[in-house]
Order: sequence, then C-alpha cells, then structure tokens
Amino acid sequence: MDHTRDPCPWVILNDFGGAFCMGAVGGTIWHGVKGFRNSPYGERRLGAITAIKMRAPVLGGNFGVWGGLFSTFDCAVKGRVRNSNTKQIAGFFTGGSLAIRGGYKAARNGAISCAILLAVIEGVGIGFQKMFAGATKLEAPAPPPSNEKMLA
Amino acid sequence: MRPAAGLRSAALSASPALRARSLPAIWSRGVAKDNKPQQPRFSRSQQQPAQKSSHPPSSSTPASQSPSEPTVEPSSEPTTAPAEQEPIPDLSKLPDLTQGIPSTLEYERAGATGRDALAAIEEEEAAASAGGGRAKGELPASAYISSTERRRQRFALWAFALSGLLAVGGTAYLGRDWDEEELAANPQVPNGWTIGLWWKRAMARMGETVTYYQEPAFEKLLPDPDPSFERPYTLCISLEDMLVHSEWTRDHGWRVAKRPGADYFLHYLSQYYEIVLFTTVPFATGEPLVRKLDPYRFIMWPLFREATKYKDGEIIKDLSYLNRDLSKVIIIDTNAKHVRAQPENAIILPKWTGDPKNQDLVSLVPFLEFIHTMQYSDVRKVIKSFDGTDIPTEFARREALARAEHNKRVQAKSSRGGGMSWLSSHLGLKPSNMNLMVAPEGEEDPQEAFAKGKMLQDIARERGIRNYLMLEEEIRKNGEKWLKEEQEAMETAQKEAMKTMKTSFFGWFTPPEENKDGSQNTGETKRS
Repeated sequence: MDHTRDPCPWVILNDFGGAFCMGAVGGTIWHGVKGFRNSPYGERRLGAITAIKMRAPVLGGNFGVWGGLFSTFDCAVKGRVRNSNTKQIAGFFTGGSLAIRGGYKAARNGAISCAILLAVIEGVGIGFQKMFAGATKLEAPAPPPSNEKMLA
Repeated sequence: MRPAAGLRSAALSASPALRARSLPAIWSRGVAKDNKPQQPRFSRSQQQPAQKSSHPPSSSTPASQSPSEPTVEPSSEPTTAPAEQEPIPDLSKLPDLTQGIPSTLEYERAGATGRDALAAIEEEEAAASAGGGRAKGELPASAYISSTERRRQRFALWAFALSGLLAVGGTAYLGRDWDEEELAANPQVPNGWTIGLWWKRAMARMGETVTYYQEPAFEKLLPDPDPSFERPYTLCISLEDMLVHSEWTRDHGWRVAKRPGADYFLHYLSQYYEIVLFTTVPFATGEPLVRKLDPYRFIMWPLFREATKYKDGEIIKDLSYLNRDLSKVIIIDTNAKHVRAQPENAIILPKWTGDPKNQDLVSLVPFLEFIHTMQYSDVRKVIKSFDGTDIPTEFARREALARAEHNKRVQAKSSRGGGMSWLSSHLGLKPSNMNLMVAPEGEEDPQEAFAKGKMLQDIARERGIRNYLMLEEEIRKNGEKWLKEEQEAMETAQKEAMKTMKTSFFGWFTPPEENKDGSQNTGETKRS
C-alpha cells in the first residue's frame, strides 16, 4: 500500500494539481529567463514579469492537462488489467489522445513515443531500486535490545 | 484562393494602363530596388481617383456585385481570362474597399457555396490544371518538399538504419561464444557458429540480465542462523492487512490501524520463533511503519519488496532464498498468490480490514505454541494435516479430544492409586481454568502437573505466559530507556555520517558506491 499517493479516483485531482504546479514553476523560470533576455535594457525586469504572467500559467495548464489525462488513463487501465506495466499503457493513451488533432499518424507517433518515454522512466526507477536494494541487506549482529538475552 | 487571385490579377493588369504615367516618376526618383513594395501603394493611389471619376461610389452596388464577380470568373474559362483581362480591366466590377471589406452574406445565401457548387468548382479547377498552364502537377512531387523537410527525412532514414544496425550488431554481440566461466554456467547451450546456437546464446544472456532484476536482491535473505539464539522455528508474517490495515478517507488521508492483539502475538511468539516480517511493501514505505509498529524489535528481520521475487507479473515471497531449513519455516499471509512458491509452508488468513473485534491472528497462538512444544521435525506435515480447515477451531477440537483421552488415562491411573490423587484429578478436570489461576512464580513438578490432568502443552503454556508477563514488566520498566538509548545511538551515528560527508566532498558519493558494489557482488556471485 503506497501511502505517498491517494487511491484511484482522487489521485487524478492530485496529479493534475501537481503537474500544474510543476509546469507553472518551471514555466516561471523558463519564461522569466527568456523574457529577460529578449527585452531591451531598461525593461528587462518588466519584460521578464510580463512574459511570466503571460506564459507560465499556460505552460502549467499544459503540464496539468498531461498529468490529469495520464492519471485518468492510469486509473482506467488499473481497473481493467491487474498488471504492473499500467504506466506504459496509460502513457500510450495519453500521448495518442493529446496528438489526435494532428491526425492518425501524429496520434500514433505521439502514443508510441510517450509509451517509450514512460517505459524508460519506469526502467530507470527499477534500476535505481535494484541499486539501492543493496543497502537493505540484513547483517548478522543481532539487534541491540537485550530482550532476547533476557528470555534465553 | 481564386477570387483573391482574380482580384490581384485584375489589379496588376490595371497597372499597365497607368504605367505610362507612373514609370517616369519611378525612374526620376531613382529608387529602382524599392519599387516592389511601392507598387501596390502606387497603383492604388492612382486607381482610386480613376474609379471615383467613372462611378460615383455607392455602398450598395459594389457590395452586391462584388461577390458575384469571383464566381463569374472561374466559371468562364480561366485560361482565357488573362487574355480577356489584358486589354481593359472592368474596374466597375471591383469592390470599393475604401468602405471596408464587403459582405459576402448575400452571395453565400444564394447557394454558391453549397457543397455541390464547391465540388463542381473543384472539379473544373482540377480539369483546368491538368490541361495546361503552370499548374501544380507540372513538376514532380518531390519538388514541393522543402529542403528542411528533405534534410529531416534523410536524418530519420540514417537514424533508422543506424538503430537497425545497432540492434543486429548488439544481438550478434550478445550471442558471442561463452567464456569458460559462462560455459560452465550454461551447459545446455554449447559454443558454435550456427545461427541457432548464436540466437540461443543471445537469448540466454538476455534472460540473465532480466532475471537479475526479477530475483530477490540477495542470494541469502537472512544471515546464517545463530546457534546461541535458541529458536528452532522461523515465523514469517506479512504486514499489510495482517499486522496493520491502512485506509484512506478524504478527510484524513492515509491512516494505519494496528491489529488487535498484534503486539501480544509478536511478543508472545518471539519466545518460540525467530520472527521475520516478510512484506511486499517497498522498503521506503514499510520501514517507518515497522519501526513504529515494533519499536522493541521483536521482529528480528524485516524483509521488504526488495527481498521478493518477480515472476509472471506477480510478486512472490520465495522462502527458498530465506537461508533457513524450510521444514522449520511457517509463513502467515493474506494472499495465496504471494506464497505460491511454497504453499505447504503457508497459513492463509483472511484479510484484516480494520475490525477491532477480530481474533483471527491471536487465535492462532495456541497452534503455533503447540508446534514449538511438540518440536515437530517438519512443520509442513502439520500444516498439511490442517489443510482446508479453520486452524484455530480445528486445533481446539483436536485438543479437546486429546484432553478427554488424557483425562481418562489419568483417571484410570488415579483410581488404581489413592483417594487423594483421585480428588486432585477431579479438580484437574477443568485444566483450562486451572492453568490461568496458577501463579507465575515457580513451576510445578511435571509429574505432579500430569497427575493433575495437565497435558504437556498446558505446562508449556504456563511457562510461556510467565515469560511473557516478565517480558512485559521489563518493557514497562525499561522500555523508555531502551528507546532513548537507541535514539541517541542513531543520532550519534547520523552526526558521524554528516561529519564524514562534510569532511570530504567525495563523501557524498560513498553510499551509492557502496550500493553499487553490493549489487555487483550479488551479480557476480549469481553468475559464478
């Protein structure tokens, strides 16, 4: 039971908000720098602020839509299949549905590349887990409290 | 498209007539290069007076006429249109744009933009473009792909070719001959140059990599049994829905409940069993929970997700990695799938879903105690004999039968003996009441106890309860102190770690390096 995430229908809201925040914060940095650089001297601060106000929420919204859609698909897939690779399937649907306005071909390409991206992320996660699993090794010296001794 | 082109051509063709006047002006200015952007402005400024002079501007007539004009044009043959327009443009038909862009509503409502009409126009256009002029079909299709697009396509082609080559090359490399060590490990696939063998070796190497990620993190999950630690049996117990139950509500988020009697279960059985927590929860989630659940560490060894095996899309707690004699291991779990590697060692309990009156776990205690008392050589046989029954009730039934037998025997013996022992055996008819009343001080003589109608397990139970009470007393007295000591020890260790980290920048890299070494070592041992 993973206590860091809420159970299924609620996690969609959670993910949407989280992704929105990530996009908004990232967009603030990105568009702040971009607005700053692209403004004439004397207006750089104003230019940065204007760019942030105009574009950061939009980027946040884009991220949020991705996150919410992904989470929705993830929940839907989890309901259908008892399998561990729901993430890739959900990514496939997310990439496809976001690119559907570009036509069949764009949707296909988007879906496949999104699924591959998520599979890679998942794989890296598994690799890291395996890497850090070595730290959980149990060592021979018995735990310190003397309860066991007392009983014996 | 077409109306716009028509208008432009009309405007352009209008200019030659005016050019006679305009050209000298341009040349006199001597800005030959600039005449392109100037031309439209120029012609318009010239045009307007001309138009105005010919017709007095009326807002209604151009608006009604102009929409009809484009339809007229395409329907009359487009090839001849330029020829016709060349001599004199009919300026009267052009809309007066100084009044704004005219409305096309009337034109649209006339049905000219209906689907059929548009289709007809398109057909005509297609026919016309096929016929002649500089139409789109004149050049090969590749001429209309931009150079950027062409470059991109070439790049994609190269990328595909390269990845294909890499895939083939990688597979070939994977299928290379075994070295001596590997050959010993894979006797079923020999060295050789045939494609089949090559492929088999590649698959074997691939499988090795995959299984590395699916196997438990260690070959031996537990350290070797300590001979001074006198508990012959090992009891594995799961966490979620067994010792604790977590639930989520919108108001409170995640909350974890401890099962009634969980503490008693662990404390009491820790005197008979080496208790192992074997859970599928990952270390990061489970560890804090375990620390809170069992601060005095009655759970000797906690094993988490890292210690499980992944097979056919399912997590399995494989006891064969446990480094213990499987005839002396019992695993209590809620999920039969998790223990499908050794179902004969498993006791499956229904999931505890938070009911505070649930007694499933605690009612197992007599049975588990009995196994220890009787020192069975193979617990799997015992568990097998309870197959398909509810263990606590079945155990109680069997115990009652045995007790009746036992009492009969004692009675027979005592009737042969004196009246005093007969009386005591009568008193001992309710042994379950008796042993609760026995004071936890000294132990009676086993002979005497048997004579009173007690069975072996009753004596064991008395001893167990006495030990348990002593243990609880000890915890009550010293528990706080132990916890504080441990906390202090942990803090000093943390401080030390921080210090080493600060002293050298490379200290940051130490923990991951250690881990990497550990995992590599396990990998090597696996291969060898």
